[in-house]
Amino acid sequence: MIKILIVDDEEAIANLIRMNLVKAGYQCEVASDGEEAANAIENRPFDLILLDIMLPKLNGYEVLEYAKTMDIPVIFLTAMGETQQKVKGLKLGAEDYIAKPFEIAELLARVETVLRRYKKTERRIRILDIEIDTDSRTVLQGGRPVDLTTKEYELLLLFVRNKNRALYRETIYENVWGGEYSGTGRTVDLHVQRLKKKLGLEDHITAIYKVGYRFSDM
Amino acid sequence: MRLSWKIFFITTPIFVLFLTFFGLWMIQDNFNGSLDREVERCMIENQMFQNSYELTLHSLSDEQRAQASTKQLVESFHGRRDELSGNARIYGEDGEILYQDNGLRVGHTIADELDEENNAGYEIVRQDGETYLAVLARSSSGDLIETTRNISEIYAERSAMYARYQIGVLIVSVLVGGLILLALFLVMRNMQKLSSATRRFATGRYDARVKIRSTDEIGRLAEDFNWMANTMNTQMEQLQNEVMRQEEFTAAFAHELKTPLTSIIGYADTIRQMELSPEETDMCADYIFRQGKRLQSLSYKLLDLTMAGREDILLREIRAGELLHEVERTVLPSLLEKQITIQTEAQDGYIYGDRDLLISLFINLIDNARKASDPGKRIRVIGVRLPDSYAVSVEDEGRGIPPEELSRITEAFYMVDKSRARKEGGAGLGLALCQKIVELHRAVWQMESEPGAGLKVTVRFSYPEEARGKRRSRDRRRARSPRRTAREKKTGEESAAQKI
Repeated sequence: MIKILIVDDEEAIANLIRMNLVKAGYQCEVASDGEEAANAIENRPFDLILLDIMLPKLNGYEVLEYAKTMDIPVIFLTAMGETQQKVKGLKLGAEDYIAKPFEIAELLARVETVLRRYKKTERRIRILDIEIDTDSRTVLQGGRPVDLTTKEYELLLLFVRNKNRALYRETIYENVWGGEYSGTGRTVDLHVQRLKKKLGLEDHITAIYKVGYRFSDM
Repeated sequence: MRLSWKIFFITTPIFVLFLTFFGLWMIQDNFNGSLDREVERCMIENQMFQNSYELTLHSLSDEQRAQASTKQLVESFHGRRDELSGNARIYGEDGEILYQDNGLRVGHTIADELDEENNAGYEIVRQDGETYLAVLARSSSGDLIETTRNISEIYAERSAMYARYQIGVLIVSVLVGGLILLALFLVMRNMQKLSSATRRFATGRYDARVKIRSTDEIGRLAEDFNWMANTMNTQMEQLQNEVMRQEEFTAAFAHELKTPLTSIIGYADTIRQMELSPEETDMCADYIFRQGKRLQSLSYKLLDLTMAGREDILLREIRAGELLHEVERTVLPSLLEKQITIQTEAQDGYIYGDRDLLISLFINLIDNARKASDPGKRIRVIGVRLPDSYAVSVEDEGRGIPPEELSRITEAFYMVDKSRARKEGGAGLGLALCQKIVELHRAVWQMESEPGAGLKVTVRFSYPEEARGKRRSRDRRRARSPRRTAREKKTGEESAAQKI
């Protein structure tokens, strides 16, 4: 299981991140200041650190440098608009940053991306009777390969990684197609329909009125 | 055209003109004097000649007169003539020449002007490039006696003077012109300096100053310029500092906004996207509520801060005891919740200020004390009347503030212990607000703290000038009515006795 350390002195924010990451299937630990974070890194192995910059005792940059020596990827949390913080963090070797305030989907996507880059995600995801190989980007259903287009494959991956989570059309569009969602096109619905048909997921991908879709494995 | 040239072209010709006129007048005057002297000399010479001639003629008997020629006659007295004397000639009554020194004849018309009364005259005649002065006189014998003198020398002298003077004027003009120009350039160089400094200043180089040591008008202008530049620099610095403070404030404010916003947006997002258990939903809602409250308190504090940012307030006379006890009543519930006791002792006296703002000030100070105190501790609010002011101190037994942080704690959004302050619901604006209120009342405040031994904040409100006068008259009135003083003293004791 992937272990993530969350470092934020704001209890509310730390708890928010922890809650959502646990729901997404990660194991989490929270540290509320720099010293506590450093001790945690020293004593236990982590796959990823989510790090606030403005911390009491040791600041985020110092923790970041310490984490680099342990070769742990770091995503730092920064208040929006503070470009200097972003630049400094990235220069010091952070993998990515998340600007506060953030949406949960964005948080999960960035965590996911960094973990994938570090090859810490499971290469094979098994869900229902579907098996996804993220290396070769192939999908097997009941041992039989299924032919999916790139967009359909990414759509499936998004659903699987956000299982039991309502995905808004705009979230889906922004994650799979990239760019701004205009709010009118039927692109998302068409692709979801086709994906459902190809994999026989009619019962598992449910449309939520006026919102989007949810994938559940039950 | 530059001012220096203008001044040069105005002053120099005037000078030259005056110099020329003065010189011409001098030379002409000198010449006229010489000419007059020459005329006089010639007249005298002619007179003497005539006298000598007549004397000689009279001393002769008729026979001798008939025998001797005029030439002989003249030569008998005129023999001693030298080079310098003029040329004499005698005409007979019918115009024939009776005698002449030499053949030089000067054409003149004096003879026509002579009459009975005026028997002598002169004329200046120009002839063959020379100038002659001719004098003609009628002798008693009826002969005309003419003396002629070459006075070219005087004219030549005048011409020479003119020539010399021309050169003189030329040289003096050039010299004076040069001097004027030099002086002008010296003055104008300062002007140039001043002008270039002004230009530099205008293009944004605000360190531009003029170095002119002279004490004339331009020197003073330069001084004024430097003074103005300094003042402007100071003002600009002030403005820049103001802007910087504003920016810092905005940045800190934005950061303070983002933290609760992140929680609110995040938890709301979680609720709408996930199927949560009722407990989880409650937790999320609770976070949203608490962070929303935090935003609310932030906005209220900010509003207070803006209100306190007013330029001036009306100072009213407020009884210190009443005020402090009202504050105590307001803060009591939140103190009881944390099991902190408050003790208010106020000497009888007055604070001059805005009631609402003062209440806000003391509530904030006590609130800070509360946040720093552990349960079971005590907060003391003490009001002391001083000769020229009223001092209120709020003292806690909390954790105190490290000395190096003391100077920063009044900055907006500054928190000594951020996570602790947040837990207590602080936004870091309380003391910034207090600072504003204290400044608005022209009061002074002082903070004394030992880490671990609590913080003591003392605010001293001095009495305004007009109130001092009022106080003195009231004090006099009090002296006259001892009963009233006693009563007031009693109330003072009462307030001091009121404790928790």
